[in-house]
Amino acid sequence: MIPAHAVSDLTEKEYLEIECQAEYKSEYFDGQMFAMSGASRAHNLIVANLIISLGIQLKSSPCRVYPSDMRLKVRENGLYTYPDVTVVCDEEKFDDEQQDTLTNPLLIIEVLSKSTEAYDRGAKFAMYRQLGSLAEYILVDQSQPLVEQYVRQEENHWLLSETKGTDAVVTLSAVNASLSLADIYDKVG
Amino acid sequence: MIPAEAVSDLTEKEYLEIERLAEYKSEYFEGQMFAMSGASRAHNLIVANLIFTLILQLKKTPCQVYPSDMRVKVRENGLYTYPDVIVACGEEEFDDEHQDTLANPLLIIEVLSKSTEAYDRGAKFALYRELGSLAEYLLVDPSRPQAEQYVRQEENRWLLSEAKGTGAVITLSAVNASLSLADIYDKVSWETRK
Repeated sequence: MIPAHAVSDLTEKEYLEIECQAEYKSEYFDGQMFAMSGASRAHNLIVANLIISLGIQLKSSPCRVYPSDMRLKVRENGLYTYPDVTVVCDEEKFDDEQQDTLTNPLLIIEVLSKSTEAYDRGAKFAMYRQLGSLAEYILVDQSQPLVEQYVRQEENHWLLSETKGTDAVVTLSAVNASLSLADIYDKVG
Repeated sequence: MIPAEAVSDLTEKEYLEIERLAEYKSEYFEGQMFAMSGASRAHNLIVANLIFTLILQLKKTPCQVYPSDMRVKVRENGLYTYPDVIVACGEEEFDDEHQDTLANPLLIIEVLSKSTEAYDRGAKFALYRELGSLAEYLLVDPSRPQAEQYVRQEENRWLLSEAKGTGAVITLSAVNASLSLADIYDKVSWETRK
């Protein structure tokens, strides 16, 4: 999903009140609310493929796979957002009794879009890195079979690996699953 | 520097012929030439600070520090570009007898700009990763004291570390130097974020 325009000077409470009744999703950071627009055919197909592939592999595990209607709060810095795909394996921790804002994802996947690529790679990833529960961050290119995987190391270092071509496979060790690029890009292009 | 507009369907030879006579710099990749525009005050100050600090530290070493008028060719994929700061140590490899296109940088630093952030973090970094000589890639944020350092590991993996705040120091082990963020951002003022 792609942030489209901003509304300023809101408290978290005000954001959540608006958000729970809104007809479209918005991110929130530092008093600002950013409406999120839809995405391309390829983007949507890739997200669907990711969810199918992960859903099948994690069926008999304690892990849950969520699409981008699950709101995430990064308690460490106050970002509210909707990642394209979220996986949680521990007991889920929600921000309040509404149980609609998850706070402890283990894996986040973003499918890149032109309008959000800089944010997903830069400021947003910097905020995700502060999320103590996060072990892996995956960026999926929608224009070519290319996946970049960041795996958390000691002392907030992250190890980047690149996977290219439809024969390649990405191993997600944190959730004990793998993603073949043939599956991720099935019917795309 | 910031790619501004594109010219298509050129060979490398045609690009270099135009480029060597041109009044402004252009990148080149896959037949296309991309003119590069100027940059902000903060961007320029940071580049100057980086070069100054690195030159002082590398004065008596076999390393050279270049600003963004040194063209780099990534032979592995055919990209020609002008990184903001380059460090090459040991014998320099040039692409031809003109000796104006370096092929073996050890360290590349890019100061981020809004218009090129996605490219510097995404496609351009992917092309740089194919550059066999490259050991470290540093991204510097001009809007706040923050730098991200990627260090090459085995099997084309890269270790990302983040340095934040003017008290932080980045160790560049490949070139045996270090950069304090206080030095990098000397005289750079930030607009206060809302």
